[in-house]
Amino acid sequence: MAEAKTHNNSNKPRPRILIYLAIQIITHSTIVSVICFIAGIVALLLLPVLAKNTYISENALMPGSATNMLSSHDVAEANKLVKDLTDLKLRSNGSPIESRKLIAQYMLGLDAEVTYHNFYPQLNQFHPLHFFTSPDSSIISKNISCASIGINTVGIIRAPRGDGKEAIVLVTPYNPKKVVLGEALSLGVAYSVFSLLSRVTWLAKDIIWLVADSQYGEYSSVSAWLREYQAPQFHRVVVNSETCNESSTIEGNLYSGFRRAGTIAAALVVKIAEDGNHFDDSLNIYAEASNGQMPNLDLINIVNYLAVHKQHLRIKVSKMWSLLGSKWLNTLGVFWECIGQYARRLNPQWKFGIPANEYVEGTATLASSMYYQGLGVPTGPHGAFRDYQVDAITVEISPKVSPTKMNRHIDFIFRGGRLIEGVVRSINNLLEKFHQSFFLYLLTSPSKFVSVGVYMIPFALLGAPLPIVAASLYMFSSKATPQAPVASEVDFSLESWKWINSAKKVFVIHLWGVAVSLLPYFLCRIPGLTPTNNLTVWGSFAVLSLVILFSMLGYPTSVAVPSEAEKREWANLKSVTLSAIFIGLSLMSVINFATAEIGALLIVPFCLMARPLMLDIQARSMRTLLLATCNLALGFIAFPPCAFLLLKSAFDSSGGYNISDYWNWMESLWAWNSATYLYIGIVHLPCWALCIHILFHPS
Amino acid sequence: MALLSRKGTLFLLFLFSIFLLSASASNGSGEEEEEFWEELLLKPLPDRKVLSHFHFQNEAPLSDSFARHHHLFPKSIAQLVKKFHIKAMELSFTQGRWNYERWGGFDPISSHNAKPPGVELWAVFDVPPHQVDASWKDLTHALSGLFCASINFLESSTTYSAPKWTFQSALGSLRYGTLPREAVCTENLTPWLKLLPCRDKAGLSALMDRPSIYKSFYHSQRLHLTQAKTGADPKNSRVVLEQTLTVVLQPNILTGGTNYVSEAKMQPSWSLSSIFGRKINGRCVLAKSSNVYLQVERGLVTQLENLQSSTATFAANGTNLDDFGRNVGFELSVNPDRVLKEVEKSSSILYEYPIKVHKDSEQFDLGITWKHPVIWSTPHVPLYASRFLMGSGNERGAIAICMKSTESTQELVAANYVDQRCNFQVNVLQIVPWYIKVYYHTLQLFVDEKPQILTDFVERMHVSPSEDKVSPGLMELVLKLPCEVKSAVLNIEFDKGFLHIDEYPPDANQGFDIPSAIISFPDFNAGLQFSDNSLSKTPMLSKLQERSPVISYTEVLLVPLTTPDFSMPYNVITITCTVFALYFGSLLNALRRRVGEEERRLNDKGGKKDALLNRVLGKLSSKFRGRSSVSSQPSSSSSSSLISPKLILRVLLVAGIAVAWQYYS
Amino acid sequence: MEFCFLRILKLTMKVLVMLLLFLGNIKNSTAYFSSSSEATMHTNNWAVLVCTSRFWFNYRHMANTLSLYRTVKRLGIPDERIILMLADDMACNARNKYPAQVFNNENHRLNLYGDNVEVDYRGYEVTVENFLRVLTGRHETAVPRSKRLLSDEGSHILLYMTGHGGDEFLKFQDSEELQSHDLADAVKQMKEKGRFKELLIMVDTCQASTLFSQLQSPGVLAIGSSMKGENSYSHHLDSDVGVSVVDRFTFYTLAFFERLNIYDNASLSSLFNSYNPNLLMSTAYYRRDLYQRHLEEVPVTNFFGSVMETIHTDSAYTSLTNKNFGGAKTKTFLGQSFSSSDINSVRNSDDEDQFNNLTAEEDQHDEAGQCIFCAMDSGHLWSFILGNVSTHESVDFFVCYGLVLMLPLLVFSTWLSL
Repeated sequence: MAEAKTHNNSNKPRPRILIYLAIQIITHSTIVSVICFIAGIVALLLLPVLAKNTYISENALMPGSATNMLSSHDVAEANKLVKDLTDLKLRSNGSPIESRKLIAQYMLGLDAEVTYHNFYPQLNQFHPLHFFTSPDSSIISKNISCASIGINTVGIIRAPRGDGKEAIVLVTPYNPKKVVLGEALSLGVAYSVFSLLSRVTWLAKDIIWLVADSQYGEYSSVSAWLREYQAPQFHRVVVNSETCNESSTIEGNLYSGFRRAGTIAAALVVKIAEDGNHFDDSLNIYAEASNGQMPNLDLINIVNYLAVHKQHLRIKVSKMWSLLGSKWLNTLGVFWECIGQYARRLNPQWKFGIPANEYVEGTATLASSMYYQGLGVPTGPHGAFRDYQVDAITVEISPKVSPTKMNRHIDFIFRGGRLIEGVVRSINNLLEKFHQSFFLYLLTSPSKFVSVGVYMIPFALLGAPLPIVAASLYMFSSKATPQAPVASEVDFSLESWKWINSAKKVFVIHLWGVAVSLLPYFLCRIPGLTPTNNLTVWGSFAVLSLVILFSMLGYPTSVAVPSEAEKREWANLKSVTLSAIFIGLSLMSVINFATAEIGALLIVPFCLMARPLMLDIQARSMRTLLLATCNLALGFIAFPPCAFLLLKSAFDSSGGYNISDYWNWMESLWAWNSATYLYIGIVHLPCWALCIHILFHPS
Repeated sequence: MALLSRKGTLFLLFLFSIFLLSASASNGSGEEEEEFWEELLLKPLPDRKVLSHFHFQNEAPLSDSFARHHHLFPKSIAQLVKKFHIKAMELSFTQGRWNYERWGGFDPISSHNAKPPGVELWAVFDVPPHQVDASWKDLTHALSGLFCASINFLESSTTYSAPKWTFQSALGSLRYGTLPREAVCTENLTPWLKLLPCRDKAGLSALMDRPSIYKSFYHSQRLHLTQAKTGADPKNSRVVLEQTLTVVLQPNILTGGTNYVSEAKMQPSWSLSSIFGRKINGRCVLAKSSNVYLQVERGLVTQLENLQSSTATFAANGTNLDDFGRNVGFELSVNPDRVLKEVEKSSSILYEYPIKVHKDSEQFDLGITWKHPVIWSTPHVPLYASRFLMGSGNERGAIAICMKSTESTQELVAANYVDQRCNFQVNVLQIVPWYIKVYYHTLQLFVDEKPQILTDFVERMHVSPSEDKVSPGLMELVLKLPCEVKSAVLNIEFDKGFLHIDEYPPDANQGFDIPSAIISFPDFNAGLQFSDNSLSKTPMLSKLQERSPVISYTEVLLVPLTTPDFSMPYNVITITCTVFALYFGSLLNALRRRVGEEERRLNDKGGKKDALLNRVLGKLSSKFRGRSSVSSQPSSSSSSSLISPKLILRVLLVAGIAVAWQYYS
Repeated sequence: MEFCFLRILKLTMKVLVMLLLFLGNIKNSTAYFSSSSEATMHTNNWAVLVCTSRFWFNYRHMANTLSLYRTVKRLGIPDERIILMLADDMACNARNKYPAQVFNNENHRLNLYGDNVEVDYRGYEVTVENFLRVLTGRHETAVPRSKRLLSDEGSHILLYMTGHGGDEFLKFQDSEELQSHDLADAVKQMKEKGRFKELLIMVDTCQASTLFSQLQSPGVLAIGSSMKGENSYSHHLDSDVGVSVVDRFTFYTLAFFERLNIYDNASLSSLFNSYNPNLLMSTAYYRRDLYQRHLEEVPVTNFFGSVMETIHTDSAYTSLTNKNFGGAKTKTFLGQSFSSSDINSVRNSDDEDQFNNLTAEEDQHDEAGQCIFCAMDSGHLWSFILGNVSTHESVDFFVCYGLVLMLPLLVFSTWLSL
């Protein structure tokens, strides 16, 4: 109201009110930041409550509107394939050529066009320049013999009356070296669908069945095939191709080159779990691709719909199991439930609040999906498709009893096949590419999701205090000496440019962060180092270089009582640090939102509260000591390795925490080109170091 | 009952035709009268499908007067020719893709009748160059009215272009355009049939049962119009209207089960009635000749001969293929009247069945039953061409045309290996719409997976770059490739352009089409040579025998462009960014000001005017000073808590209002 | 009472006719133009059938339109007088399990697509612009006749539209909208240009009734499948094809018409009463305030069928030909209905007295009138008149000749009526 008054009875221009508000906010920065932070946490905990039910927003999909056509004949054929494969394993303990030929023959039997695709297993080697670039076709390790060549078997069915501009891809990972029954069964399911689709008359998109040679990992084989499909190299350096291609000629085929079929509309990876879970047949969906990209929600919706309503499978998405049992979460759920009931009593329109157990489940799922998105490592072979903007998910059917001792293969293949058939048909109904539904979302259950509009709020609330506090600190540091005798203009301007040298310091520390994050690239060149040694070398180098840097920057070690300027120096430094980390976080939120959110949770409180311990110790009051201790605690938590270990211990119940896990973790991060690695190296670590520096600032 | 009615119609037609003939004989003594042939070619394909190729030809003398009376020739077409001065024209409606690998690419049928999906139209006009575009526009409209298709979309200059070397009769007055997305259905076939003298009531065209035709794997309905010069003076030139319908059908296999163990599959036995559901009863009485042919192509013939030599019994009584198909491989239900063989060894064979005038006693139903599994392969195109897109994302990409050699090129090498440097010519025509901004300087050529300099292999090149919203880009290459080439790849990069918001089609998210490239091999001759050319040459036979270059089309490509998207994430991102921008702007603004000085200025400017404002500002500044002075002490929160009640009060007030609103609404 | 009214009417007519005979070839027919719209008799029928929605899952909209197409064709409107607009190709869509066939029922008995369907506008051509062009007849010069609506002020037009609609709009191809104002404006233009005598608009969308709210032109009758705020639902899903195949309103409309043949004269009101809101799951809405005649005596074949049934007469045409040159002449000119105004006027005049004669006769004995009708309709006379037109050197002379020939007929009729 005050600003209203100032407005209507004054001749001031408009922006004064903004200034007034800004000044108000800045002056009460502590309160504002505390409120914002708490609100952020609360909003984060509220996400499962605010989750909406998923709905199929693309009308054209029409899942389950057509009757299934998968006949028992197809299934019998598929079962025969499974038997042949397993017999092959028993007979001649799995010569890869044999099983490959077998599959190719089956495909040819369906009038499909069959080719082999040879690829060289790509070593996961770290290259700092390959972040954010589309997957590169350059890395092919030269010194590879024919034995280590991977061979994918690809079968293509052309849509009879279609114009062949689009294709749907079915992927079944399969390791010809050691045939396991699960993979054989997944081949069976895919084959049953394939043989159906080779007969139907309603096909509008071509069907590609990729039997991915998974002896070097599922992801690498699929990504190699995709690279050949999307960005082939015409000028290639082939290592003695003649000797390698002896197996890649298929009788009954003229054209042994690489075959393509139109733009890929969607892809479906079919797997069958080895070990039976003992409740009932269920279906796991893995959707996270690299850097937290998700497929279009409709793809998950149709799988979910068909599995639940048609095939009566239980749908599962990964949860944080450790969260399920936790007491505090349960009580929180009960609390929300009560609030919800009260709200509904207040106004029946408010559909707010969910049962407590549901809330707990939702939170567990949310946490895991946020974790996997934040990790930025794809959770399956479907990740390779996402790199080419193709929507793909991995569907893992886990039977009730383990397939090895399962004698009802037939009807298992039947259900699986019908599910896949339904999904393929409803994607086939689609004329346009997936565009209606969400692709920035978090799942709280297979049928509930939190859209970007909602989960942005907690991050905004967490991030908002940073610039405010920075501004207030800046003003404090520049205006803290009203009674100082030197109030001349020159001095003033000098005062106003004081933040430059602290900015310089921050910049140098960030450079250090870059150096630290580049170090493993050279470390992994050194042969014969255990993860622990690597980690120790890395850490020692980091600390050493940091110490050197500080000595160069002139770390104020004098215990003598410092001057006013030095007193205020830490405030400047902190304000610049805060703005730096704010920029870093918002950049990261563009690249990978979940990482930014988790990172904000870890680093923001520490950055906000960090103030020299000296001050607290000088003023020996209960509050200050408390402040100091929780500063230290936060500092400990925010240290990346500690954070990692804490999270690990919190989330996977399996014990045995080794410090070398951290190295392995980081290694996997950079192996997968995850942006999280860059975040930790370049944003998180330097800011943490700066805050520690502030913490031990002598003032 | 239906039979009776058909009989009746036929009888009427017969009378009518007699009347016509007499009439034409009476009046048209000077001019030669119009002629009409109908023919059907059947051919078993290696992948257990059947190619059936209808060929109708209609000739009329080209007369100058508009008001000429036509007996057989469709008047609408005649008027078309007159009005737009068409020298040659071809219009094709196609659904499905011709499988060059399994159905062959080296025979006249594939090189004439394998067309890109959708509508393809080219026409050569006999008008001065500046009128060509105008008459093209009118022609498209007329055709769209005639054939119930939206051919009139070809009128806009962004859709058609004028290639130079790909088509034989290109004299600058040729226009070429395709509509890859045009649907082809019954409504296109109906008017096409109405051009025939006896529609689909009698003759071979009575076979065309719509569902079984459109169930086919590939069907292409084509209308070819030329002016044949007979004799020296241009006065008595004739208009030749050639209508073909090419259908690839799958005879319904009784055992639906496909089993890989049956390695060598039996060819399914079929008959006309089993694939069309109808039989031929009687020829079209207006037709000069009406024949059905069954072609047994080279590969199959050789296989059968091997089979015969292997089985001793047949070798004994020395039957060969041309004694009415009573051989090892298959058996024909009807004995052919004539057997045409190709000249050279192991050549394809044609069985000829002339259709008699209708007698209600017997209907013609040709059937073939296979006795032994045979596997053969059709003659392939010299270079098997496939085209695909590279890259991903909405920014840029590349088109790659990949040509791999097949055995026929090896044959060529074997044929003229005498000279070391044997080359053969390949013409490539690529048309891209304007929103695919092709960079022609990025054209790369890889021969046998090694990058090559273009000028070594490109003989001639004709490029007309696209102009935004005006004309498509056109690239014609004439390549000279060595015979022993294994693979040749053309690669060219492009940027994806932006359309204006109202230029997007309703289904913009499907992506946009790049029409298929045409790859022709003028050095290869697709024609067949039959031994007895002296015998009556019906139009289709002469068509099969004429020297024609091998032409093949590549796939249509689908390019996803950036589409206007107002979906949820974009809204959220924009809104949040706006909020952030506002926030930072105001914050920066507030930070850059020196509040003290402004106070002073304000005080001495309008201080007297309002005391209240002063009070507010004074309180503000004092608060500020006080806060900043004490804020180094830990008691900052307490000092700030002194204003907090007001803040909290406001917040509570607003919240209360909101709650009340919610509650009472 | 009514009889004497008839007499008065006839008297006025006679006066009119005499006057007309005297200024036979004076062509300032502006006076008629106003009266002609009512006076012109119903000469021909047209149908504009529009399916506005794209994509495979809208199969049912195309099935709706094709059902109407089939009905209209079965009841005798020839293909060249049907403008069929289909926004997408379902019959030969690769997703269609039964190529070249479209069914509107699970029992695939009735193939709506038939063997010789003629689609005039299809695919991307079905836009709001083209639709309005068809109605108002403002085409580019190159557009062929088969794509034009060549109706005149004697024609009854059936306009059927289906698709996804809303409050006062109908979506075309899910991208652009036809507002109710546009429709009303187009209809008004048609009225002004004398492009129809009576217009029946039938719309099957959600909230169809809102589309008529702006209509003002007289002679327009409107049927909508649902009131404002209501949806109109699909009838059933064919799980074999995998889509829902027909909308309820059209399904029951077709069910009504399947019971009819050309000669039935079921009235429009019986059609309207046949809609059962419980079956439709929406209340059909009729707007009849712009329509003059009583729905009870308007047979549905006035809109859904061709005008007149033909009865085969083995009597020679000569007795009739000299009788009704007028009518014949009108027919000759119908072809070039959009030609110069003077011909229009001539036609009007002739329509005028032709109309009188006919009514005069029909009072006495119907079959004579029917014979005249059939004579007028039969193609032989048509070609004969065409021949005449070509032989005569000037149209005007031909008109006068016709009028003179009219005399004995007139005398005869007056004598009869007295």
